[in-house]
Amino acid sequence: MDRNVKRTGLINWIALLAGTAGMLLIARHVNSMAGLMGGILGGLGLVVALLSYCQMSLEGREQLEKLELDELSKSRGAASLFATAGEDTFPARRSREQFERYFIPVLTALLLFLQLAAAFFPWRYASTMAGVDPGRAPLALALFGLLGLILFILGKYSSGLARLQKQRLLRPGAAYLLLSAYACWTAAATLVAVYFNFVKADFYVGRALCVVVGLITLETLAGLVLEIYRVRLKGKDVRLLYDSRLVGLLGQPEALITTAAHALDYQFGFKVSETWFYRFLEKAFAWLVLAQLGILVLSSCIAVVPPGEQALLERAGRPVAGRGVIGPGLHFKLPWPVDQVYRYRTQRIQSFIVGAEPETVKTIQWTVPHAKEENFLVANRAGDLTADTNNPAASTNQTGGHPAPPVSLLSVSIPVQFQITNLTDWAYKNQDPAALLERLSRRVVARFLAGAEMTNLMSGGRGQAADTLRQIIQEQSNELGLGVNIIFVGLEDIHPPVKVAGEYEKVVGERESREVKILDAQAHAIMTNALAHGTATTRVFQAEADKFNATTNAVARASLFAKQSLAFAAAPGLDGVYEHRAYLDVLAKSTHDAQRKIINATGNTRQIFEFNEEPKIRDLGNSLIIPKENK
Amino acid sequence: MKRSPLTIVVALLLIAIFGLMLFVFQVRQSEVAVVTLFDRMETDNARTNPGPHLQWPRPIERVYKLDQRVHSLDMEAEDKLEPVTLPDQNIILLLTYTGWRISDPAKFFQNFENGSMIQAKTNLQGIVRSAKLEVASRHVFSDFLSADPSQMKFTQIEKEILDRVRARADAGKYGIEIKFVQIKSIELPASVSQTVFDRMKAERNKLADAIKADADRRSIEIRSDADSAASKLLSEADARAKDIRGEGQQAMVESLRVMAQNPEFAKFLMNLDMLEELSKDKTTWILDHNTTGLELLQAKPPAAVTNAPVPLHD
Repeated sequence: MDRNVKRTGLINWIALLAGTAGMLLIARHVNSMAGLMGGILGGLGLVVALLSYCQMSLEGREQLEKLELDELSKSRGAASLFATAGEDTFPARRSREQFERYFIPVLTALLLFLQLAAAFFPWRYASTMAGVDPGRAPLALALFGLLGLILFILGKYSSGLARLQKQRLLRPGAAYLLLSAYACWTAAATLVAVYFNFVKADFYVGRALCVVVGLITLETLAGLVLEIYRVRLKGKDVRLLYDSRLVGLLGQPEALITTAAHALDYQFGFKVSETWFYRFLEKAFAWLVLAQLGILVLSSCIAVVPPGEQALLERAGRPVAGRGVIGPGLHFKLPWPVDQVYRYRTQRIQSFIVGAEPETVKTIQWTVPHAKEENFLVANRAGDLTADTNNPAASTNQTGGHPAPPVSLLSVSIPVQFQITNLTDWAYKNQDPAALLERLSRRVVARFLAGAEMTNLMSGGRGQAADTLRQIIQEQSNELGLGVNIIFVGLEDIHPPVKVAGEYEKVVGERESREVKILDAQAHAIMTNALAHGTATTRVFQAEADKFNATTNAVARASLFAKQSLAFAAAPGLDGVYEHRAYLDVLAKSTHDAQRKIINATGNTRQIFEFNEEPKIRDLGNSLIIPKENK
Repeated sequence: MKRSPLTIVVALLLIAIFGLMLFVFQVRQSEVAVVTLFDRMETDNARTNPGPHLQWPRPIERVYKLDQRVHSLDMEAEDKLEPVTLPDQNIILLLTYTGWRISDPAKFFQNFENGSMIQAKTNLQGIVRSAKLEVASRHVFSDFLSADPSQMKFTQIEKEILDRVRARADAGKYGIEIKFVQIKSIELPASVSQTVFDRMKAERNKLADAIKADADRRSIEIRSDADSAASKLLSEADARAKDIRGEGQQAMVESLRVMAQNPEFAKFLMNLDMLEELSKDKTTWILDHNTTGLELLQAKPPAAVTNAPVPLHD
């Protein structure tokens, strides 16, 4: 074996060792899953490179042994001492054969377990990783890129050497070097994606690399199984058991193009791979990739700010003079990472809620929980509940050992809407301006409610209170340099806490009941007054009618009496004809409509005639009562 | 071996990019940088400001970037709440937030491990909590909450806490500047909140009962008033009616004077009137056969008398 090849094998192993260590350190530094998987791939390559290096050493010793024997044979003639020598005569060859027969399968099986673990555990671990630290991404990106470049150059050299000198033992290490280089660059690209807020990119790429390791594991397993049934022919070159075709393909993607070209040739029936277009593509492939990279870089020279947004334009970290804040539209800038643009939705109305976060319910009822309630303290205004600092117990309830302070609790939900008006202030003055604005608003609300009147807030004073709150929040935001315009502050869903809402509603109910009682009483008063008026009027009218009757009757009676006196004078005396006639007229007239007329008609016979309108018969002693219908 | 110029260009380009990234660092407008050379802090302050700066790659030099904007430390979110007992025996939970920024990056970096924000926050929390409890425990409840705004000392309490925090955290000791300490809200411990709820319930029940009693009072008043007015009205009407009837009686004097000329005949007529008056309703008449006009019903001689009743018609 060529010494140069053996040295290259050793260099490969050392490079993989350094590359693995480097990738794992960088991955740990930046917390990158893709980088971790790159390191694991490098580690697997390290084992493979070690195996091939051992095999390389044994083959080298065998070749040396053979050369020595050839030299001895030449010097001692044909009747050599070793002409009929047995297996013990070639210890190096025996060692190599035993290594290939026993050690390689066993070590490949061990490699299989390592590959399985390398695919399984990182897959599970990926979901628990905290994610890439964007602050450390640029440095890690550079290191991954540089490491990838070194591994790529070494891998290319080794694979070229293996191909030119037909050194099959160099091929596995070289393939893993190239694969590790690509893994490095993939990790670097992932960091770029994360840097541009594609946070999940690292997770997905990490999982994809787990799948790649899983496929390599399956290939190794298949190789081990097939090795049992492989037909062993003496003198025929055997593919290395631990040499993965998949790693070879991934490490040398141009091999894929060659394979594809051969497939096309076969399919079309002529040499597609010899056409000018294919050759052009083959030659221009690198240029095309480079051109794409160039376009990518050039595209970072253009910044498009969508409508409703503004952006900060920074050159090497500092705002660009005169263009520190750029509005919607197309803007040109130096390529990333020299110039960087940070977009903000300045026109968008943003909002948050101070207090209870309302749930989506159709009807809000005080007594039914409809939000995660947050109660604010409101000072009591009632005279009997005012704090007495000299004698606190006098004005408070003593329950459970704690006095109840002279306050009430109020559940509120206050939406605050704002717009960013000064982007420089918003972005550069406070580390988390949105959170600060929220805290500030809460402070203002708490302070306002502390001195507010609860009933007024829940009724007519609501609108004015909202305006006051908006003004105060705006003033204090300006003082802190938040660069916002407070558009709206609403006092919504203000009510006593659910625990006491029932009692509040009861008061409202009692108020209504009071109105009902008063209205009932008023109705009664109206009716009583009306009846009294009516009755009084009737009585007066009746009296007037009586008066009229009396007056009229008196005149008529006087007139009648005067005329009757004349008639009476014609037949004077009480037994006179006029009197008798008048008497009988009255008797007849009076009894004419009588319901019963009972006349003792027979005197001694004790018979009574009764003329009765009622349909019944009574026994009146010895009198016979005859109903009218029977008479 | 013959190398393609493209390969060389790409390699040089990549080396240039990665090299640039290794040897150059940027500090943003909102940041301040601290550079260490073999873990010893650099005294070259020119590289701490925003802009591009050169560096030796790790591990020779290390660059730590610190956010120099105002940080808002929310005690409620970062720490456990602690009740404060006030001089008037009330207990409150005081929630504050603190605004601070790095004023001396070098000192900040040295005081807190590699400029650890978490460590700085932890230290600041202790200072703020201590100051908050000290100040709050010297104020009565009405200083925090009162229906009379002139009694409230919100701003004064905040200033007192700020002064104390500044005295301890500023003064060049930590490398930070305290911008503000503000009270986010005041709350009550759960047990006290329950008593407040109980008190609120009792208060509302009292109010409800008062309204109910008021309703009954007003209802009775209105009804009594109406009844009284009705009674008065009827009394007045009765008096008036009597007066009117009296006037009617006066009118009868003339007719009585005429009747007095023949009193016996007048009495006879009056009796007839009374008889007629008596028979107006459903009257049962029981008449003797001796009654004038009924003499014809008297018993006849036996031959003429029959047991059958004499049919009479009304």
